[in-house]
Amino acid sequence: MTQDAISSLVRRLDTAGQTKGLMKRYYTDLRNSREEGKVMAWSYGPVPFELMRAMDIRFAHLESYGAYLAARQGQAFLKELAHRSGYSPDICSYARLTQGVHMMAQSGDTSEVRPELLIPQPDFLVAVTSCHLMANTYDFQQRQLQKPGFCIDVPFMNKWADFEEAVAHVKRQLIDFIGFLEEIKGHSFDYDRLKELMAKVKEAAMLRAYCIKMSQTHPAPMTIFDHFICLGPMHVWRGTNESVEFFKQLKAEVEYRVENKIGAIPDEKYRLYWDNLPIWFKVGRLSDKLGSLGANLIAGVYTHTYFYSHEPEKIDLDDPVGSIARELCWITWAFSNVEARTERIQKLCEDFQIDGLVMHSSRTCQPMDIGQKDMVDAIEKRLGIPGVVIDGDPTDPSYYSDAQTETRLEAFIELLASRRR
Amino acid sequence: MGNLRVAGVDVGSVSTDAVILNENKEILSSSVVYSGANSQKAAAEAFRQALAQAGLERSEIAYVISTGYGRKRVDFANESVTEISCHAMGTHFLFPETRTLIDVGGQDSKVIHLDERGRVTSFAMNDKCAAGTGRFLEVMARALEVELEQMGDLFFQAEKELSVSSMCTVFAESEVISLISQGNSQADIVAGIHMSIARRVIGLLGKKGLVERLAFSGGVAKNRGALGAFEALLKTKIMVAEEPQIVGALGAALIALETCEKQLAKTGTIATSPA
Repeated sequence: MTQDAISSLVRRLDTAGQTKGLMKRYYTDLRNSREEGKVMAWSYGPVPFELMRAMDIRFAHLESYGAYLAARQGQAFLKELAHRSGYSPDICSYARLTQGVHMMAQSGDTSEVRPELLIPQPDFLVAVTSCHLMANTYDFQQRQLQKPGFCIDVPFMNKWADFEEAVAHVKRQLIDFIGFLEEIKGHSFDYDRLKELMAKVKEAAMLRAYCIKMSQTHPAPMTIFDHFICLGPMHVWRGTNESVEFFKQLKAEVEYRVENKIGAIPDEKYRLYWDNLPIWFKVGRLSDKLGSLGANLIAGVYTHTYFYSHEPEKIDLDDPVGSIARELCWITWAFSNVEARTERIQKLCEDFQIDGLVMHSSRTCQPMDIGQKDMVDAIEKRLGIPGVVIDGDPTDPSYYSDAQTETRLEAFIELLASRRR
Repeated sequence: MGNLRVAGVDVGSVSTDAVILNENKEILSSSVVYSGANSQKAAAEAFRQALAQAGLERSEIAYVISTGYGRKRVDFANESVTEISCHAMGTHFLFPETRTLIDVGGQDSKVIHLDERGRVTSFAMNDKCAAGTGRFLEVMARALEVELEQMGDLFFQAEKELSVSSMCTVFAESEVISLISQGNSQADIVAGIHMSIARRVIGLLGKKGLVERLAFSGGVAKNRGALGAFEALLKTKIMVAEEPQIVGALGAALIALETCEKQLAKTGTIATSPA
């Protein structure tokens, strides 16, 4: 089958195409922050955007920005700047791109980048420790920029019994962060505005959760790659009317597909689980490749556990700060505790009738990789579902090979096919 | 069924191999050529040699399956199947008691677990680090100024095992040169090199570990020293085909035969494109 034929197999969602316009607007707003007299922050990790949006503060999510820039202008110059500042090539590729962005700004030479893609220097910086690498990057950059900074600590939880204590610890810090924002802006925090925002977060999250749940049908109307593409509206856009409208449209499109039994791929033979972040620069190609083999990647821990995917109906609008704290703790719990993650994978396998696991072993995100082989073994013992490990990286193509990855995926599909003989 | 004949072609990084089988699963011919830079040419040449050996024309071959990294560029193949499935099938045919297969080729190494029907139940690969592959041995043979074919014999002449610990083939070469200059014997260094490659591959066994019986295929299986290193570390007797290099092509041919038999049973004809 030719690449063109393969590319036409997967049915792309119309709604997903809207994210391009939304992200373009988001970066335009960032770029115009100064002219429009808006305070602007650089943020690192799963930061509580809701609190900044409630104060009409614009925020750049540096990891996303680094990847965004790399996709449009190439990576080499950003990585080179990061390496020169002491960042090893084995460090998280998001962190290297982010550091490259900062070092470029520090150098005063932005000639490599088209002006419309640049963002202003921040008025302050904020990070969450869920991702240590990004928190370290925040620390370095905050010291260099000598701007106010705030770091929210989300602790590792060894057991579920530690969860509520962690939530209390994070909530206290979020309240301090609100005080920090009040100092920055020079006026008090608008809690009513926060409640309104959280109502929209809740509404959008519930719509999104519904769309996710629809993939429990056969054939599934979405692939996980659609979910990756549709993250923007639940990430930097959450709390807005745009976010709610986006997910209303997505729900309508997905419902139509389900009613008419239109699957994301024409001949769904295998339903697969994806572990870890996406390989952003191969989202389309992998989706097409697996589609050509009759395989749909339906569920994944990243898209189906974070971004308010977990029980959004329980978001307490009378305690928005507490709800944000719960979400931050949930992300760390589900990500860094191997047993919790295995339980999560098991639930996804059961709910979505998964036939096999595809574990993306990210070269430079070792925290996400820890325990992957144990998870595969555990799921195989519990559910009889096999897994394959593929090597990649979220944003660094030098750690990826089409031929090697596609050989492993093809071999895995052959393995699944032989189990049915 | 009459004179049903099929072929498998394995286009690897170092060698390209072809096997022609009849419906009784008898190997009519096999060939091994260097892959070189042009895998399409190598595939055509390997197939041509196998046909000539068997005294057959292309038109007499009902179905061809290609495998190996170059499998998608074999324009005379009816279908391609990964080398994981093909090595498992080939090994199962030769040694039906195999449950764990170690395959070390020119530029990757694999551990494959199979069931009693020769079906792959899991696999792990190293295709990121040359230190666990045939390439490692080539580089070391050059550094030691010995022929690759001599390495196996030298392994068994070692009086002690030296450690060759570098993670990277290039730095391991420097390490070997340093060991030579310290006056160590070729045999002792060769033992160290083989134990190093075996340890790296054994890491792929993972939690499933060694499930008896164990077989060894791929070009590096021709090296008695590599076999010796694996047997010493795993403390077991390992099965190796007389021609380990052609196991992948043999497996591809067996899959081709299975495909033809299924199609003939279903429709009475053989479709030249996969369903």
